[in-house]
Amino acid sequence: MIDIKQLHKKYGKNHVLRGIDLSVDRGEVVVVLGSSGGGKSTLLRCINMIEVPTSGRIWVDGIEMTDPATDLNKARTELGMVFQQFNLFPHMTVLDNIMLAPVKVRKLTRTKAKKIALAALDQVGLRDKANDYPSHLSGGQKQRVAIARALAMQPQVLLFDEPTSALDPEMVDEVLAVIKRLAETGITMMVVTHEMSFARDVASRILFLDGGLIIEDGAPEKVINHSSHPKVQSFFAALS
Amino acid sequence: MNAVEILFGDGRYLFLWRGLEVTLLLTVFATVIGLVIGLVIALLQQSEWRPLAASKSLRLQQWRPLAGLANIYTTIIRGTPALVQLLIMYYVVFGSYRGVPKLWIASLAFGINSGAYVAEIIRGGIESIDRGQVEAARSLGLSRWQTMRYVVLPQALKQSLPSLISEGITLLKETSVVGWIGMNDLMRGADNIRFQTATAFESLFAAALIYLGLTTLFTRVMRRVERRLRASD
Ligand SMILES: Nc1ncnc2c1ncn2[C@@H]1O[C@H](COP(=O)(O)OP(=O)(O)OP(=O)(O)O)[C@@H](O)[C@H]1O
Ligand SMILES: [Mg+2]
Repeated sequence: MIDIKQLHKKYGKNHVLRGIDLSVDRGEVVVVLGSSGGGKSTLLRCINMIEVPTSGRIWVDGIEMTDPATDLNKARTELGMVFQQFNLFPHMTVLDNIMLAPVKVRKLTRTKAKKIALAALDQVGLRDKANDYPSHLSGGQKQRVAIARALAMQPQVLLFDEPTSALDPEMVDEVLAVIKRLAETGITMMVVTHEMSFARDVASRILFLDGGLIIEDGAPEKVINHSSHPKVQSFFAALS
Repeated sequence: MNAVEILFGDGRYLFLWRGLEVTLLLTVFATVIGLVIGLVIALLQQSEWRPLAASKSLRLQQWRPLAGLANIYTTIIRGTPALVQLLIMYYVVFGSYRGVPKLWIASLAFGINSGAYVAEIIRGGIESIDRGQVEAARSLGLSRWQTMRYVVLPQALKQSLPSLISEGITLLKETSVVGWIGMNDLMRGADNIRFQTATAFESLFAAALIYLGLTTLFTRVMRRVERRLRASD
């Protein structure tokens, strides 16, 4: 579903990704861990080309994102992204936030788009908030709306960049529960998170990013408990 | 002569009344033209069109002709007096078209002038919008233009609204120089009374008071808009 070959990203002299090779199969739930500034966000943002790689190639569902001839607007519809800061559109109601892309990008009729939007709201348990503005929602509700907005495009892949890091602790669980339920539907996911219980219970695979490289890649059990890498060991030791 | 006689004797108040009409019409037309031009210029400033992206020189690669053009426009307009622009419009651009109503010419001149300031205001509004908004829109598949049209601009214009009203107030005062091309606006109306009665105090203060009344009114509107916006955030 996702294939990455020798991905490099530099910000000026700052060489953030130093040759990432990665292949993610359909239906995998990949949790990305690593120290702060290790390039986790950059990796996710390169996959949907919000950040343009310095070199390397990326394919999503057989379409090469890094090929200049690719219609990125179209390709991005297959990649939903959920941000740490939610990034809901404050001037639109919840429903309009979700309907915008189905109407303007997929060119669906408003009736059809509304149906899809309400179904997406059902999936995150917020149908009753359809006509509210984002400023009237709690952090957890905002993030669930953001997830519904991504879902309404019916993407092949969902990318989550620290979806619970900006939330008050009591709201983390409601958002994780939604993501967990989505994971069970078989959609392909990459999730950057610091929530260890989520990584342990939901991930089919954990990547550990350090110094711009994937230094550990495998089943949660193996990465968390049996890594031979001192950096990975000390990362988990510090958590427990 | 007392003040009442100076201002109202022989129907002299009509100088002010008709002048007020001209001033308001001119301000409204110029504001509308300025908003349209300003919006277009602000969008051009955001243009990412780089026709020479394939060239060898880094400078040429980065060259954005539309943004460059827009910046030349705002630099020239903001760097020269409105009166000079008005006179150029009247004597040079329309120099050989004496049939065109002065109101149109002046509206155009002040509209073009205001457009540069409006563009800067809207640019500020656009740049104040969080990058995350653009990233969210692009990640959903919206094009650059759709992102601008449906996500960035509505928020940017809302943010800019108080400053845009303030620009309208500035424009109202700036139009007081149209007497230079022989238009009988409020200022020129006061001048006419001044000449007829050979007194300065009453006519000039009458004009000043009317200007002040109008700007106070619009400033009130602006404050109210500001409060509304803050409440809706
Ligand atoms: N737009 C940018 N411009 C310049 N440098 C950037 C930019 N975005 C990220 N960086 C730098 O790239 C490096 C990696 O950042 P990134 O956000 O990918 O790390 P991360 O692993 O997601 O960290 P965190 O856990 O703090 O979110 C950091 O050194 C950061 O300063
Ligand atoms: Mg990050």
